[in-house]
Amino acid sequence: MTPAIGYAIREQNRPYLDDPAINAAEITFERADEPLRLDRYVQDAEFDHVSVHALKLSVASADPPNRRYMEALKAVALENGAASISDHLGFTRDGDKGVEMGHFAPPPWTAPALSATCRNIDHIQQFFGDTRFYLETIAYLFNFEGSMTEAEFTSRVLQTTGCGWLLDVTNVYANATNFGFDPYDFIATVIPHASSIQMHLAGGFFDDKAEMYIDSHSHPIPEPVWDLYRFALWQGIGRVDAVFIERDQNFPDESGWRSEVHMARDIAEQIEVPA
Amino acid sequence: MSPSFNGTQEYARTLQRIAGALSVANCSTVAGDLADGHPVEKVKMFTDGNLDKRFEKLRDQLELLAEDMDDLDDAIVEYVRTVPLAAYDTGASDGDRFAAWLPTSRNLTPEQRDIITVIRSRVAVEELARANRLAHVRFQELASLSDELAGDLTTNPHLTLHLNPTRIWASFETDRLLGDDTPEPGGAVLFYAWRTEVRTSVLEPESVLMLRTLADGAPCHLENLQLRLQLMVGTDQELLVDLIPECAEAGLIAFS
Repeated sequence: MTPAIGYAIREQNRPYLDDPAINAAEITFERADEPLRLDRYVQDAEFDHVSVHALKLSVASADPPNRRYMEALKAVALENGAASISDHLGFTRDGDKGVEMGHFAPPPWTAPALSATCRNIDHIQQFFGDTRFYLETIAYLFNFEGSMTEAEFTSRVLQTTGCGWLLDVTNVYANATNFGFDPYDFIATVIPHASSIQMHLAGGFFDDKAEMYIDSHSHPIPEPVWDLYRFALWQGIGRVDAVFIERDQNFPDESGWRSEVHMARDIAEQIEVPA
Repeated sequence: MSPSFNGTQEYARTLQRIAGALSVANCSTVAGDLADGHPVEKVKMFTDGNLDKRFEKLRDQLELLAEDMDDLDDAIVEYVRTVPLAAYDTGASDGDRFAAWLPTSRNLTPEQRDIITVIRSRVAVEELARANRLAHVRFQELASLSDELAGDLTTNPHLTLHLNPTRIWASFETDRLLGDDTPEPGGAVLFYAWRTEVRTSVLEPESVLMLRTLADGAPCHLENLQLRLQLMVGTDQELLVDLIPECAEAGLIAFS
């Protein structure tokens, strides 16, 4: 079956969410968490798949996320008919009453980090019940010293917890470009361990000064990411539930918004319906 | 593998140290934790990006203060470099924490303190709505029907009055933020949710008395409020018939 496909909702793409190529939407929780809001974040739109994307579950922290934050997430999910919730494989804070770094950093790829991450995801899945949880592969600027590869760590989390994998294709491309590994190998290694899959697509830029590809969600999706997307769809055939395109800067015009989501759908349909 | 990552307790201590350092851009602290070939300069890119985003967000939240405070940007820089972002920071909570921190780092003028009052009261209203979302949404639904029921005020003593549950009382020290036709500083100022916004009303003593009386027993019938006010201060019915529609129009009272 062709995955549900759509955008991470931004005010700039709301006018185009009724495009026939779109049947999914992702809600970024921190944007939807407007306490004075009276209507649903998705408003009157109907989608086959809605997912709530969180930033602060901090699944690799040493302690589980607090109940108040998860209840707020659940409330937004219920209000908008979401089938899934997702967050990143990383940590953003030191502890429940401590400090926040402002963005997620990758955990050290070690056994204690793996154990804490699996325990936290079990806790999250127990809390959310039928609302499926997906774990996103992040783009990072550095790694801490570890004892296993990121692919091994991710595979073991997916195996142990049974949670879904939010494969951010652009993040894998960025990490592979910046740290010299093969993104196809990474996906081929991890994807067999994912019972269900979501994908993120976005475009960034190569920062010449930093000599790094930056996943800034500010440019059209580049060709190597489309190629990797095709490969990932093949590898995950039958298990890919939804694909979301993210754009946060340099917003395109109407044809730009529509063309990328059509491209994502066309590729998925070619793969799901072999000639 | 670094010994510091062995064991759950050690892991917790390590993350505490790393997160504590990176939250205030103390990058060199984590140099020994990095994998081979991962220089501390990349950690600095990470923290610089985080601090920049935090600065921009605070600048937006504190826009009201910019006009009255020449060194606002310096104060924000000092704040983000010394006070870490709190875990589970919500949309406006960092701005509120800045507003609480600012008087501890600088001597503020009374006018600046009034602006701090506005900033903190608005956040408090949002937090009230967050904590009691159902009540907020229900009241706004009722308030959208107020016009239709306001005509019953003179004929239906059983009309039920609802008080906006998402409200915060405050007062100003100066007239910097008051209009020409409003009372002197020091009076009651009410911050409250109106649809998806935070509104501010500077109220006459009669309105304050009526709202505070209603707060003691809302929702209640119109006749019940009349009786309580008559017993307390002898407020006459005509005055209430004037005040209630004004408060309903402002979004403070709704009917059912």
